[in-house]
Amino acid sequence: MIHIEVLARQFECGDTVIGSCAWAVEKAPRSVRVMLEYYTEGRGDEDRRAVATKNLTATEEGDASFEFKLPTGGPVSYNGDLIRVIWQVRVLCDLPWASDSEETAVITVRAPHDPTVDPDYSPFEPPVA
Amino acid sequence: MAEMQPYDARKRVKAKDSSGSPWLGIGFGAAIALPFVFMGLWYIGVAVAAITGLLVARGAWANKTWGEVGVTLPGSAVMMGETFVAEMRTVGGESPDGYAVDATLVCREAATYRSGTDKTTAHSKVHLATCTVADRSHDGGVAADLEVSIPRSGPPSMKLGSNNKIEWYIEVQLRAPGVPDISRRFDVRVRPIVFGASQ
Repeated sequence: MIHIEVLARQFECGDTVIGSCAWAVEKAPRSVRVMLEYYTEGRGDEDRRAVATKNLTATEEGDASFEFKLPTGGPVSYNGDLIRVIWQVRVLCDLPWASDSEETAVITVRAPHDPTVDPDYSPFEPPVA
Repeated sequence: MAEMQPYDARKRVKAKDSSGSPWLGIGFGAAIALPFVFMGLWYIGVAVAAITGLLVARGAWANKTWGEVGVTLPGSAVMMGETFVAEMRTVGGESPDGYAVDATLVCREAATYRSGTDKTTAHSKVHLATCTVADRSHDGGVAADLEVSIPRSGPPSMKLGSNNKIEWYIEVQLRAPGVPDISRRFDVRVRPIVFGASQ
């Protein structure tokens, strides 16, 4: 069982994603990693990229905090005609001789905007995971 | 009264086989049809070559008439919600009588997927807007200011990997009576920041 806690769910490019995770798996994992990544869904084949990864202590039970900086140059969360871009924090326990155990927490990444000019700025809502 | 004999299929087959080889008929038919097949292929080849030649000649004529088309953007990238003026200018061409300049801002999704051994790219235009064009003709060419407005809520340019991307571009079309039209595409990089936001 893996649990992820992210302090906020909406971010702008360049913001820092802060949170914590806890895990308890049935056997000692080869590795435990938490990563900030985006992937695509839709008509095209999947593109996936982890923009930041933190290796955690590979124990059967544990918890850790993480702090990742989102890239200033995007991409942003997007829900279009052919393409969806989904940002998430993913914790992955690589278990020997068993299916990996993982958990994700979806976040929204938007372009930085001026709240006084665009108070209701909400361009793209990513699909609910 | 004669006794009715049961039907024997073997006899019938034997009787048919004795009438001659069917390969003779097929060979004769092929010999007659083959010249027509070759003639048909030749006509198709000539038609394809003629159409290709016409298109190439038309393209060369258009290039000679209009010259090189260029667009100068205010910077290497623009912001979401930004309105700017891009300068369009032709070099090494003419300004034919009655010419017109059209410019369209396009945002397009491109998604590539593999199907068997083939790769196919699907496109969808998610934003399409006509730009305001102000003519600024110059000697020996066409020039115009294109007012371009990137929407605040539009997506920025995104290259997400080898399969998916979102691109912005200006499509410029030059038209004149009696001259082939010409269409050129100029990429615009839209940064993921809304105009007015602190950077």
